[in-house]
Amino acid sequence: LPERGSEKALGEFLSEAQEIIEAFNRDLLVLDDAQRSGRENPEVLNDAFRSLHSLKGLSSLFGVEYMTRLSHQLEDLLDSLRLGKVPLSQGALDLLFEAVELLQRAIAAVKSAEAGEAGDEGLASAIDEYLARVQRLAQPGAPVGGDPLATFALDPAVLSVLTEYEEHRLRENVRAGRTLYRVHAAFDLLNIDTGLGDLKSRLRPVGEVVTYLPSTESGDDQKIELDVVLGSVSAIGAIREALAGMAAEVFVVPRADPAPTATPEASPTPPPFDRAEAAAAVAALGGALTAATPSAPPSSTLHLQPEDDPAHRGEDERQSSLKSISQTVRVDIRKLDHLMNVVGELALARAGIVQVLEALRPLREHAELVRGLHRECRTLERKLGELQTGILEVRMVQLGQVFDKLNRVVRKISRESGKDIRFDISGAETELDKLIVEELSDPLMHVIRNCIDHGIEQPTERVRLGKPETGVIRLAAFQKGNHVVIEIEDDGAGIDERRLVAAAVSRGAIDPMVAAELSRREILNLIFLPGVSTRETATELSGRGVGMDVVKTNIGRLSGIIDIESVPGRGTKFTVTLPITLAIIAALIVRSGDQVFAIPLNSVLESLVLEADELRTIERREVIDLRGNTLPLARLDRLFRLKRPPTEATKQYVVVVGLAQHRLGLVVDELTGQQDIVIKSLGRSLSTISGIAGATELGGQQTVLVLDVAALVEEALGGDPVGPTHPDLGGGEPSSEAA
Amino acid sequence: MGSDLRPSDEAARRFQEAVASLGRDAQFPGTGLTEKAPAAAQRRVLTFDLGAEEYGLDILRIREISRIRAVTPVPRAAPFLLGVLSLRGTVLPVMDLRMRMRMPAAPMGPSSRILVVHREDELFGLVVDRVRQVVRLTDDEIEPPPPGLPSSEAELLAGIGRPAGGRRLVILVELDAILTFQAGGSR
Repeated sequence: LPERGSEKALGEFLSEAQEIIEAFNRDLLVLDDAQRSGRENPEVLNDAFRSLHSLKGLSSLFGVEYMTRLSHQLEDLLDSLRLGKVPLSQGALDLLFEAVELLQRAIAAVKSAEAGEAGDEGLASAIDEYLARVQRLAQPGAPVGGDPLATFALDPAVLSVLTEYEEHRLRENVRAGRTLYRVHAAFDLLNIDTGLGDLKSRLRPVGEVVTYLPSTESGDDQKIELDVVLGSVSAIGAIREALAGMAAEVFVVPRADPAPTATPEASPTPPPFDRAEAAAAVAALGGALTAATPSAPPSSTLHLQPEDDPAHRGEDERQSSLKSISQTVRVDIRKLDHLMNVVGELALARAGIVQVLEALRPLREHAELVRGLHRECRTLERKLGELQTGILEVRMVQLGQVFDKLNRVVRKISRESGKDIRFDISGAETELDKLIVEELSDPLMHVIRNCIDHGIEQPTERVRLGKPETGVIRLAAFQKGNHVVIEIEDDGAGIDERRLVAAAVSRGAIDPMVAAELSRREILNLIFLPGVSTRETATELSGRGVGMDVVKTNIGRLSGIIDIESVPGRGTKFTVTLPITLAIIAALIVRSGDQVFAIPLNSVLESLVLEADELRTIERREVIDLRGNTLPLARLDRLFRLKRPPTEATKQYVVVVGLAQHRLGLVVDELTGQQDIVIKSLGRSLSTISGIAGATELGGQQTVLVLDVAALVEEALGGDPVGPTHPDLGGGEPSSEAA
Repeated sequence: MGSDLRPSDEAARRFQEAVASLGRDAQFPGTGLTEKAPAAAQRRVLTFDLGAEEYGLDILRIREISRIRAVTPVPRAAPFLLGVLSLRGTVLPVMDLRMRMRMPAAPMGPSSRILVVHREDELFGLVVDRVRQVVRLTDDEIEPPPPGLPSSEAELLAGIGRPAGGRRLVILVELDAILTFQAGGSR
């Protein structure tokens, strides 16, 4: 176990390992995609191999034995895959996706061990069992395409130069009917690194760089000349064009049998793998390169081995691979919270200074000083604003990391349920506060599971209905004003409203009398009640309706709102609307009765004076007409049973709040102003109180509550049928009825 | 919200110093020896009044003592929850300990104080009528709660202390039970 002193280092290990695993997962998703459409993607496969290689090094450095073992064996498997010894089948991909889960479990185990908690008892045996399956898969059957050494009449000089992987790629290129090119390029000794990088990035779009070797044709001491072997379907002209402006020449590697033209126009389908032809090609290549010397590169700072192949890295390079590549710092979010609090307190201090300034203003003899102080104060305010924005930006992360996780889940569930599903993602680059993103993956996963389990039909059923066999789940995120909207849509069966109502009644979630009067929206929202499900049999995937009520609670905790639309036979769409950040927000300060509240400005659409003669009631609920739309009202003092001072001015205000498409007018007694606030949680003990998102300090030791607009909107619009659909039953004060 | 209700940081600091000095191994007068950590046998209890009775709470659970200050009421919360207050950046719930202990509510007076207590990293404020002193209690000076109490009341009590075996009674509260409550959630 690590010592106390290395706690921080262990934290670094955990987050770096986590990053590697996430990158690995992304690679797998790309490979999966490619495999399904019958393409291959050697570069990404190689990346995946490299990820596990780094993970192995990292785990062994930190002495995490089971992770080392796991990543080592996986590295071997990936090595076999990239060398083509084991075909990259769906089975192999399944196994690799499973590895992601196991690796994450292993990380969790390291974490809990560090915290002194009970370990994951089943982990060791799960790894053993898993590795046994990896071994079975990696068991090379008949070697694909025969033993390269036996079938290729390679020049020993070339053999000693090409790594096994390069040789494999070379063969694959020949097999795919690509033309082999030799690109001879010269670089200045001083900037070979950038030059080579440039060359590779120019070549990548036109083909695959199999290897690059030092050339002996060089005569100039200040130059390094390299021979790059490129496999490509493009014509030589296209390659020359890609390299335009570089000191590089392009040659076609001659084949022993020049008859078959390898240009794509001439042979649209790859010719069957002709071993003799490939051998001839490789031999010809060998001939072209025999002069190449694998040893003694002219400068010791050069790494002429392709860095793609970690097996050939020296110890020095292994060390450097453990360093972070990017110039980023990982920060505990709590430190950012703390900074944000400090900024909030600084803003309060500034407000205090301004108050003192106001008091000084009448003193004529110090007018000049007061003006100067005032100027400095404004600068301070501006800089505080910048500081605040800066910290907020640091907290922002892209939704992509959550979406990648979901992608894996969709893949897994769709295979388990025997449903064929395409998962369309857009807006992965949309940014949200890190804390919100962290809390999002579980609710979104529940929603998607629900779509797969209850929404998408079995393939045969879909065909019978005349739908495409492959179901589609669309996940889209985009920013809309101060909110981020996430939509999850399936093209499945939609929600059967009659069955939903019947289920809710039979489970006792609603009264049959109430059920008969529900609106469409209210019916669909029954899905968010605990214990309601349209499925008679519980499945492993989504259980018996467990989840959707939790989803709603969790989204609500993030000050968000979830909406549902469904068209029978066409599909269901969930829309989650979330604030971009909860850390610091602009708020409208209002007074109702004897209490002051803050309303997050990102949900405030407008505010207006309540004209008594515009008040109407619909089924005893107060409404006003707002530019032709009926706006339901909720009196904050009545919602919260606040005391009302006996001598109350008659003027009242309506703060129109909205989330997604919902609108509600909150009636308050006074609009006090607008202020940036740092929301603080009321703590675990008070988290069950609905309608309050937290508290904030307004300066002068005044603590005020921040309204949870999402909860109030839900409540007032009767989205929750067990709520008070008739406000008078809640014991409202008669005085407010008269207003 | 009253304006004269300022936090008493000074009082809190004095209290913490006093607690800290008690917390150190006490000197036995005249011997020059330090008391070797008496271990679990002895505990220090802060006593306070609720109505006519004297109650006690392990001082290790107390962060500070604050004068009564503006508490922001929280709508929809249980009646014993007076609201929240912000203490150096942390928002904590404040409860009326009399009401929590199922005693009749009484207006706060000049001697009322807020005991800021903690459960792990969570802070709570408990309003009491008056803070008295810190007493030491050994295990044999503590009796179990009297039998015959309804279980809802008995679970809030840890026992009865008799400092120095005398006639004075200190009712020890079971803090974790007191801090475990249904905050509300009703509309």
